[in-house]
Amino acid sequence: MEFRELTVADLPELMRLENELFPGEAWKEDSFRSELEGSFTDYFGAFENGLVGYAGLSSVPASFSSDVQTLAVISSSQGKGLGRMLANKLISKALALGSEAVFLEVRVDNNAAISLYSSLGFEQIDLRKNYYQPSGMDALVMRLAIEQPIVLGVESTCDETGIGIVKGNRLLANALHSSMDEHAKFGGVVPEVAARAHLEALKPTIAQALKEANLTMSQIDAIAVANGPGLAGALMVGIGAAKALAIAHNLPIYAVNHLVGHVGADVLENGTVSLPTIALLVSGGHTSLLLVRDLLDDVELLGETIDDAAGEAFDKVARVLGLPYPGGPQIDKLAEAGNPKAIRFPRGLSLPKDMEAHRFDFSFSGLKTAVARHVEKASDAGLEISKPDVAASFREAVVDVLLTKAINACEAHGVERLLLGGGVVANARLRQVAKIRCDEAGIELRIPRFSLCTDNGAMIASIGAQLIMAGRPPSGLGFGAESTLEVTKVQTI
Amino acid sequence: MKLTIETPEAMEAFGSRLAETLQPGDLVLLSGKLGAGKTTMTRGIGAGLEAIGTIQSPTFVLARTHRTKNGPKLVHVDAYRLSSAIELDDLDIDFANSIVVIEWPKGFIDDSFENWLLIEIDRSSQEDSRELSIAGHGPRWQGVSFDFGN
Repeated sequence: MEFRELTVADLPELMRLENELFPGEAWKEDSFRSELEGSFTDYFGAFENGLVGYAGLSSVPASFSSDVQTLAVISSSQGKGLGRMLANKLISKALALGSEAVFLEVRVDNNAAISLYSSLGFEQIDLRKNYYQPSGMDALVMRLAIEQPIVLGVESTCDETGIGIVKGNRLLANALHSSMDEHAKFGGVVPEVAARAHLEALKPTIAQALKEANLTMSQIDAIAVANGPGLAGALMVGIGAAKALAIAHNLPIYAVNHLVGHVGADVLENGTVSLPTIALLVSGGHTSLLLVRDLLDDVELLGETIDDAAGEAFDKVARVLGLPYPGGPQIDKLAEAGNPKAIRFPRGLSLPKDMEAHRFDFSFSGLKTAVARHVEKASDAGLEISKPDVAASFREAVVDVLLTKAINACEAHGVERLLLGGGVVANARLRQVAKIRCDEAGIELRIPRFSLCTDNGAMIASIGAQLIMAGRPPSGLGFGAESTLEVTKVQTI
Repeated sequence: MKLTIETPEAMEAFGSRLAETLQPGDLVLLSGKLGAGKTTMTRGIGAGLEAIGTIQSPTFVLARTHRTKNGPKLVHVDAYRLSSAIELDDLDIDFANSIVVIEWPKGFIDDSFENWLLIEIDRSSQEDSRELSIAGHGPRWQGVSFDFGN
């Protein structure tokens, strides 16, 4: 016996069985085709010298529920527990998708099926008269309640102490403490300062998250923690706290990838993350372009910065213009009054010669140099520069290159979705241009709310929950901080 | 010694050649204005040492450690935001067993070490070209000659 997901290629065999099993009430081939092709439906087949049984599930995003579309086994294979196995496939799938309930209808005279569903935990909630046509048979409506795991997530990769709590795909709490002010006098994040700030902030932030979710630690099912990439010292504090919580409360722990967390944040916004998607993650420490085909199993790094992160370039240009740290908001403010076309600053790694080795990589070093040169040249010549024009033109160059590469990645990989994440998403111009470019290219743009875009604990909890829902084993306690964790490693065991 | 480097590619190639001379315990100080090519040169050193991971700017994290394929670790530091030897010490860098490259070196670094190689990069020319001046300090660099095939 072999089980696998069904595709349109299985349609002829499926129709043969359907017509044989439900004479007069069989679904039409067109209906089945759209079911197999649909984004929100999952069909499984049981094979033994050909197809002998099949079952389908529909799960509309954000409904937090699934519906059993059909479940059938040919008569010669009945009585072998095949129906139960197929039903369990559907329940596992519903669990993995974040559903909190599975609904189904069954003929009132189908005692075998009713007793199977009852034994799996389904309860009768309604009766629908004359549901099946043309026979006029009544249907029982049954429901299986699924308890999705409650996960507490710890984020400490940089200067934000984030504690989030999710239940399956639902956001329950997202508490945050930032030590950014403590770094301002150093002109940037200082790892040691960040680590000490995490130590002080962790306990109150955990308490705040529990309060927000109206839960106590005894109601938490698992702990998730970001173990990289990030600042080693900062990570160690968060990991230490997460392990302590797991041991003290006897809970499983999941070590998850911070960057993949940024993609997982969209689950909390939408009830699901639509895949495949290109993700552009831009912050003070990262500038990465990802192709995500599967959140847990297939994340590919298409490109990243080969020198400065985009946020870092903002900070350095702010330095050149004599503005305080952090540079992003300062430049953004100044740029509002400037002309983005006043100065044509270079777009890094955008020349034909760069397309082979660095098609989806970023470089902001040349841009930074060009800005510095522009300012120095004017100052040497005793000329006043327009800081707003420099800020606007610089910002335009960064936004242009980020989105040009992101949209090229969508087109090159035939992906019609772009997800933005990271602190630089706070930049209004980036969001504005992203909307325009995506509309032009027919690409669906996803930007989670700001509190889910910046570093936060909820996105870490979300990946932990996804791992549990997919039946993955927890990490041991042996994992450590991995400051350069590669994006393909979603979970560290 | 002095040297003219014409392009970013040549800067990387220079770093790569320099890496052949470097040993565990060596300290390289890279000085030069914003955009001079310090990270570009370090990328070349990384390529020469077969460092693992992309050599990105260390400004945000202050220091980045790269394992290399067969040799010592490469530690890439940005000292712009460091104001004292104590803050450098806080970074817990394994100087003895690594090759350490420090961008934006400060006076306090000179006081803390016996040997270092100082490379100053001048980008005052309006073109892509850079003037390098290279000077070894301390017994480690006495009598070491560089052949960059200029």
